[in-house]
Amino acid sequence: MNCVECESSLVFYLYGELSAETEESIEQHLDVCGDCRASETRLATMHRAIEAERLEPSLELLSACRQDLAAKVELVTHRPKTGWRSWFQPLGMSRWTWRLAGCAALVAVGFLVAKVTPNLPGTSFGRGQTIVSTVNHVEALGDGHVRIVLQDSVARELSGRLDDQAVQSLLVSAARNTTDPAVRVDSMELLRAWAGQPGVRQTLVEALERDPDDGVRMKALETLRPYAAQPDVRTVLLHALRADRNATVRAQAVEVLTMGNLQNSEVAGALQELMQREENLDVRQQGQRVLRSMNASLETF
Amino acid sequence: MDEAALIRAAQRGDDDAFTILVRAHDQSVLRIALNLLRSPEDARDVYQEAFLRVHRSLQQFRFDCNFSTWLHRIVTNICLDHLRRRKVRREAPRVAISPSGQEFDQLDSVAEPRADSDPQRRVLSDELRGKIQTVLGELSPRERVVFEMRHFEGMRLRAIGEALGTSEEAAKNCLFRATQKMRVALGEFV
Ligand SMILES: [Zn+2]
Repeated sequence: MNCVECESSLVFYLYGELSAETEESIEQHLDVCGDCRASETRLATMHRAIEAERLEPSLELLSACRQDLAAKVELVTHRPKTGWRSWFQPLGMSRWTWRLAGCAALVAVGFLVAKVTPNLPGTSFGRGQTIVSTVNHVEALGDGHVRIVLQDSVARELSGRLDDQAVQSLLVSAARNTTDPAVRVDSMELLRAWAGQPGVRQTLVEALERDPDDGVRMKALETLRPYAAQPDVRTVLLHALRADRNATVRAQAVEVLTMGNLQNSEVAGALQELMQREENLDVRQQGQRVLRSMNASLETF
Repeated sequence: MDEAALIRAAQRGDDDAFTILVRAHDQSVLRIALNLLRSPEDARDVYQEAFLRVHRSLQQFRFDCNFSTWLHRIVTNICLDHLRRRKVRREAPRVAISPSGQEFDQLDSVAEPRADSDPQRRVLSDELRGKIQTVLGELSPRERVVFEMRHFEGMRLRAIGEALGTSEEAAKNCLFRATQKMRVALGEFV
């Protein structure tokens, strides 16, 4: 092979799109020709520069797209889809997230109880108050009559400062016990600045470990990010990386566990284990990138 | 569940199956659109249009190619349309609005830098980065699609050809032209 032939094939050599024989003769030429070798180096540098320009869409954008699509498909098919809702809502955090101006913001906590029943006649507790009711018991009385036992409670509103202990415990309770995942996510966001405190952190750790909602687990993970070096947080992150059913949560766990100087053999081991069964391509690619950068052995998979 | 079974279920109208199918591919679709159009709002439009088209025409999918090839064909066609319209109008990317209604200051706020690209970014001058973006913008829509699918998605020429409904040879020529333009423009930097 001469320089002209080498030069014209070099591009596809780097793209890995040449036959084995052509590749071999290029390599033979590169071994003996400094000019072409320099050319190859320049081209490879250019490839790296271009690849560094690749954008990864953020989770927020992805989540917004998923919500758009869910709404649109529902419209197209003219039927509400419980399946869609449960699948698409998990990542729909941006809509819920309160945008707070600084930590002096006031917080209002209401509706901590299960379900609001619409306008039950004769149960008014007074003007302007919302009745929150859950049905505890139903029973047929004959003659077409039924008996229903309701547990009523009045929704109260209270406001206070975020650094108030009572407000914080209400928020912790909301993050743990509210049935609406949106309220759980909002509570976590409000507690973000206090995530270093044991009670709050324990709540977040438990949410990441076992909250049934994907979006809530994502939120817990994100809020715990600054504490990734703490043993309890680290343990739950490794658990998420190994066992979370949501690929985005797994991918985020990989990222948080491998940022900064947190990398160690335990993380490498968990990653390699993950790579053996991970089916999501994006998680796999991210795992591989991290492993490569950790110089861990890729031979096991 | 393997993908063929998922597709058949979605063809029968199983919404959950369709959703799983979407989720298996949507990050890649969004990444392709975001990189080609460099505008989160446009990428969001492409995402929506692409998967609505999938939803509408999944019945016609006959398993004569990979689902991802079929999906890539849909996405690249929509992106090509966007890029061609932009060329004609010479329009800049639309102003980006976040889901919460705020304007994005910059594209970086919708994109997460990849871990391994960070050191690279620091080393390379802003000038070089700007130059790369300029050349990408100057490529023909087709060249740009081929070039990015190779560099950003790591796709083989054959798969790129299939996605564009053209031959491997044509994709190869396209890629070569794009690379030459890039080399000429970046000559002084690398
Ligand atoms: Zn030579």
